[in-house]
Amino acid sequence: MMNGLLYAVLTQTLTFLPLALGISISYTLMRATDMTLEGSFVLGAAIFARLATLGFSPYIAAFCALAAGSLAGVMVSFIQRGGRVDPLLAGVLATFILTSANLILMGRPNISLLSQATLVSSAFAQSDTLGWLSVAFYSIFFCMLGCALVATRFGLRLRALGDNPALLQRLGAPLERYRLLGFAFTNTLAAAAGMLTAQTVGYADINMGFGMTLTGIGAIILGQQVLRRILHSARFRVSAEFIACVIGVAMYFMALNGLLRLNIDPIYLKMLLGILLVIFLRTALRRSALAGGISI
Amino acid sequence: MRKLTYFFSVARFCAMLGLATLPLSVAAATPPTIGIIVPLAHKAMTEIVAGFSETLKQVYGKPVIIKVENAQNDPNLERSIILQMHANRYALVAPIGVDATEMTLASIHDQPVVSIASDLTDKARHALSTCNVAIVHDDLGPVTQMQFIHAVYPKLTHITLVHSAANKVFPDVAATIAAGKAVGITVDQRMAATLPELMTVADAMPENTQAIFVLKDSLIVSGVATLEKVAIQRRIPLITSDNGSVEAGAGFALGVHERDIGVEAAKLAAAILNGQAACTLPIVEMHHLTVFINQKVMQATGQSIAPVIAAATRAGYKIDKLAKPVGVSH
Repeated sequence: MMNGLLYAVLTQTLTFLPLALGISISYTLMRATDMTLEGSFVLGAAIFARLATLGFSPYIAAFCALAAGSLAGVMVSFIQRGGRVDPLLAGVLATFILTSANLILMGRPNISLLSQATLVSSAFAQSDTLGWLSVAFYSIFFCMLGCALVATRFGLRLRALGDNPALLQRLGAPLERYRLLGFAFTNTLAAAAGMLTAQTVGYADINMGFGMTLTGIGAIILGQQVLRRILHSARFRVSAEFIACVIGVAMYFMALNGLLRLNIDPIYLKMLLGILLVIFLRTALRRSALAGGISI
Repeated sequence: MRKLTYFFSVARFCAMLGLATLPLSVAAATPPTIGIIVPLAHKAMTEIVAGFSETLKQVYGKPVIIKVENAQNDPNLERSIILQMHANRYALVAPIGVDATEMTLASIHDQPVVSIASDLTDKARHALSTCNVAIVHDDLGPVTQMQFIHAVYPKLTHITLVHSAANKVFPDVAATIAAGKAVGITVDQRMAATLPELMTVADAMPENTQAIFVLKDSLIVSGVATLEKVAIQRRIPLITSDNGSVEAGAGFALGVHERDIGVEAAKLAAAILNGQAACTLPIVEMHHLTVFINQKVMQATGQSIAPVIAAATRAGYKIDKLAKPVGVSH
């Protein structure tokens, strides 16, 4: 039973992780709640599935999916350009556009990948373990690439864009360029997650991104709370942000799968999951506040 | 002393063997567990599940444990449910719908699957790395639908098809337009991706439309009352494709009893539990068609039920009158 639980948590965490990292960079570093990520998640899956079923090599399909994700980021950045449109509204508008775009690109709301050649299909054909190792490779590759970029001067400027854009402007760095690159980067990660998810669940679907951003935000905040409690430090570190994502996403899926295994009716599951996480967060917050002497 | 030691060794061996085989005997006595994956709470799903559960118990004849899990339209939850059913070695998994079937087949290769109401073809199931699925289709096809509408209203030339972006419905839209053309009906399509959009779509229907048509589309069926209002205002028929929508406010529909879909799926499940390979079982198509008529709505939209009954009788369909018209006593 425990093995089954760990297997479920691990496999679901792996495909969700690049999206969680994208959300984390956008939400924590750039201080933007980018709703476009939900659309880019589907876009990545849609482009990959469409091209794969048209007979393109999975590598070309993957490249196009990632490029499309970055273009979605560029689009939301253009909508926001010059602060003329509220960032949240820009994300919502971009999501509207992407909903139609995804449907047009797919040609139908659902594309099956069950018997298609994908990046991981040959590994899965040999064994499930090999298949998931292959998924893990791609997922960790995208996440490491993301972390490596955040650790550079580029990442530092993205933080400045979120924390103090006026300072970044005084330093002579073009705000709009960093906003554009930042969103392109986070949306590429979302597209990567969508693409990996489509390959592991066997289809791309127009509704597969539903609620993913909110779940992701919830998971990364959860992970950050836990990590701060362990480290007793709120200082930003790239590795800590990534670990927070891993912890948050794994805890979310652990809670979800754990409650299911307790034979709880799924009708009550979301409510119990919410209550469980609220209790956990309240406890974690109170203890860290007591330790740090902060009033809550 | 040696004999005593030997006796204890044999006794210990027997005890260990007994302990080791105990779980096996317990497992053998445990009835098989069947998992049904319901993508979201819906009346049609409840009917399918009821038909499945009751029929399986009758047809299989031995005790079974049936676990019904509702994924609440959440892909993460749906995946967790499937992985749990896989890990717990359920004897059979029965997903309802296209997404649930695809996700199940991507995750489960070594347990039999009965796909209910998906559009999986025979070719597609044989293309899988391990063919472990039996299939029940639930769609009649747009040609049958349009031919029946034409039989009811031979002078009808313009109809508006209201549909959502649901994966099951989308391929049928183009087929409906083509089928309409074949019988001299121009089909205008209007898409509502969400329920709030349905109100706008209903208000913006073409002026010359003579009827509203809805496919087996759970989102549109949820908002069928909105279309009913428009149909009453314009005095045009509201035609759908399932009994649930007729109960909720459509005039009439040619379809199947949802329960019957569950019944057919249960027969496949029983065959699999009795040892037949899932992939060798032929795909089940629903042939027993019923015309569901809501007499109250037909009256409110100014339509007579006589041509519907006449067309249904000619085609040999069963007729199911769901609500009495106003002013008619029981």
